[in-house]
Amino acid sequence: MKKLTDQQIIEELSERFEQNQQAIKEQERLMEELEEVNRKLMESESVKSQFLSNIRNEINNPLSSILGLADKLSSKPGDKEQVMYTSGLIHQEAFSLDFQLRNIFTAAELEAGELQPNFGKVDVHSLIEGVLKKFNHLVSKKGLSTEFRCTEGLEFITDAGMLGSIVRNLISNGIEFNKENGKLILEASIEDEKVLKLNVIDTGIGMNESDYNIIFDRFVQLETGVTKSHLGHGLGLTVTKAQVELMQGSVSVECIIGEGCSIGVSIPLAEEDDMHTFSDSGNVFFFDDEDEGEGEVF
Amino acid sequence: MTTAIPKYYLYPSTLFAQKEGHMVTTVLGSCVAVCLYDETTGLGGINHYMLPFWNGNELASPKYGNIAIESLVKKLEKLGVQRNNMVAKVFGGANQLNHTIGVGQRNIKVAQEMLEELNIKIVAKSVGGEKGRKINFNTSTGEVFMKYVTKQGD
Repeated sequence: MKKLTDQQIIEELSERFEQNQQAIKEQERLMEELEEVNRKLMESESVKSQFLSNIRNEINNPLSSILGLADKLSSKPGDKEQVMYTSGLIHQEAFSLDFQLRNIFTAAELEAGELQPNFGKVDVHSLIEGVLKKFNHLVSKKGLSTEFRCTEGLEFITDAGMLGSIVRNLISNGIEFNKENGKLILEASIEDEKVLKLNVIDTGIGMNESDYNIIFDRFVQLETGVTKSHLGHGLGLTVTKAQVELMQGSVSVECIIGEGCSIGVSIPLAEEDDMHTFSDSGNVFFFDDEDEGEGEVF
Repeated sequence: MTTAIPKYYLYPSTLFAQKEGHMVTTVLGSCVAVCLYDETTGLGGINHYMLPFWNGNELASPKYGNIAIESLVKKLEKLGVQRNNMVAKVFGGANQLNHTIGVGQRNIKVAQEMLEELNIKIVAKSVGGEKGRKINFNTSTGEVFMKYVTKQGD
């Protein structure tokens, strides 16, 4: 057996000790990582169950109202005025149900990767005006005054359905988080003929800069729990951001605490490739043409 | 090519898999596209993801590699493709100046690791580098035509 000097033994021992220390550190790091992942998992579980209970309310409440009101309408319709009033209420409830369901379905399509933009010429002015009109009952319920700043006949090549969904959510958000008798301003313009800019400005309580990004997270509202005072389940702006990104655009937020928020959307002009206009065979020939030395086949 | 085959332009964060054969075009920068193909059924599908892992905050969409790959495999399985018949071709993941450093590399890595875990062999790839790529994937033959592009992809 090899004889070691005291010095060698000490060195060997300290080396092993060092290794041990490192292993412990590594283990601690892994443990921390594991805890983090675990925490996220639990969070996602609770988000899911919260979402399910929220969604049940959001869907059940309007649906029960519609059932009740429709029942009343058919059994005790009353005079013409009462009929109009009741059917107005039915419309409101159905409107909110339709709004929530659309967002849920859009979210599902986005998650499946099946939502595909379909570009064409869109009259942005009349599209926004039309959406705003549909929110009339909510605007007047809150006593808001609205202002729509946009050149009449403003046209842009984009996906009409997605733009409608984006505008719907921005307006709904601007109404929901506005103050009573506040103001809702909508701006739409085209910059350098290339980018469609939308801004929805409210006069609500505003929010801290640190919360700017959180509002786009799914199932998140800044105010949570049973006492939360706002409708919805935090899906609207998440869906909006995903749709804007699908069209290669971006979202932005600017707030002044106590004065309100402005949520902006920029959507670039759809490119030629996106319009599916390239010739049916040209590309394949191009790629097949190996003399060019540019294309490769895998 | 003599017979006309329907064309499809694949957007970032989406995926494509259908029974009918298509020529799917997509443009990649730091993004990665995984093409899956099964010779026995002649069925194929493709995704186009921007980031490696879902952050748990946004929608769990195929914008993220881990979701895009799993969803594509499941979608093909629904069409009747057996997982052990699938082979993969991987493209993209360039280092581009306007993107976060290393996102291309991490996008490539998640494809390699997940496909290995799923036991799907990568039979061809063109990944990394600095140039963007434009690919045409024929989902009915599994062939991919690729060329480098100067235009910045996603």
